[in-house]
Amino acid sequence: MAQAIQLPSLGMARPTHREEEPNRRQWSPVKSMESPVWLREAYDRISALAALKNNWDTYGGLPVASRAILGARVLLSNLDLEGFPKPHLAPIPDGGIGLHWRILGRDLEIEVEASGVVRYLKTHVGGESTDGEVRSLQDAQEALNWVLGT
Amino acid sequence: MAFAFGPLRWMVPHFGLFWNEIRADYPKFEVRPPIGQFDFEFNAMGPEAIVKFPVRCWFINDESNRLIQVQNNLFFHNWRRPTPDAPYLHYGDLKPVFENEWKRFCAFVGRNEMGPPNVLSCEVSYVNHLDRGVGWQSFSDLSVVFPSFGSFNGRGFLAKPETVLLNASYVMPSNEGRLRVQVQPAIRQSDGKEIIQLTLTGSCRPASSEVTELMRCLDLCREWVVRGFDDLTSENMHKIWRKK
Repeated sequence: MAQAIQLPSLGMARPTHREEEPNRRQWSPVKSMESPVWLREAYDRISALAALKNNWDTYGGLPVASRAILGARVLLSNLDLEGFPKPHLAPIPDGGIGLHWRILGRDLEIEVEASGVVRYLKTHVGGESTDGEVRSLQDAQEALNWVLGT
Repeated sequence: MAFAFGPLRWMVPHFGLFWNEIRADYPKFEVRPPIGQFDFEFNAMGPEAIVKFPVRCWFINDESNRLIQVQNNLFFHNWRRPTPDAPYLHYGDLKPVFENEWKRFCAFVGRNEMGPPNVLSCEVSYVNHLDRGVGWQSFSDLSVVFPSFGSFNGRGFLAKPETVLLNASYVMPSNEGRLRVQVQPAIRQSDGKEIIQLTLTGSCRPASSEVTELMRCLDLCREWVVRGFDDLTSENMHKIWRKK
């Protein structure tokens, strides 16, 4: 049975990215908007998705839920994304957000559902796929590292 | 608030011993990488093993709103608002706490024969998160918040910048210290919100390591932080903050 990630604890979890020197002294962790270079653009894309109205796809697609927006933002601000290309960010008809990376034949889709549940789908080079729930930032980072082949 | 001092002969066991003394007030800890540049040494093959692996320890109180950071040449005390509704603790509330904790640290250092810390620098930092949508919208137009900073638009070839980062420093009279200002577009990791992080750090070199002198320096640093903040930020932002 899927279980919703507790978003506040996501945010308070141990940062998985490299700690940035100017921010080391402070307590409330922040991530620079400069790194990776596409982060600014990805955030703008999420803001655009947040503005979608009912029936945005003409097939009855729901507006993107605020929990999905929050979940996608928290994921992007807590993962170590250095070296990764910008993900394709797309709305999902049930009110979620999908983040998709394709690197050297490996596909990773991370879906933040309207309820806040986060799931992944890995599609391997040969075409077989595995899926599961992302229960922590560590799970998400491991899935990302997989798509990079590390 | 922080003091930087000459390196102490502070070894790994001292973290545990010190924590034992403050544990009733700071029951949680985290081990973090040190601040600044350090040499890491590890040699298990020589006639005498060398293990030099500097760390910094965080000691956190039960309410998770106060933090002591210790490494062999730094002592910090941080406060943060645990929830948006929690009362704001002012400098006047926090300074006596810092003074007491510093005295407790010095007593520990003295008892463990590391000598009194020779304080090289006193520091007061204010970290402000300015949420996007509250008085400002665009990372490329920081002049709404900081009227003297300009737009950074190109004269013709360049359009608006995507983001702007700023670092500025101001020298105190008689070269006693500096106010450093850092403006950084950032994302707050706890809720993924886009913010401008405005950090003002006043630092100065004390004439001695006497507590009264150290407290005077903290007061000076704090005055520069408060007056600097007021001087750099716009009237419009002041109005918004007064309303909150």
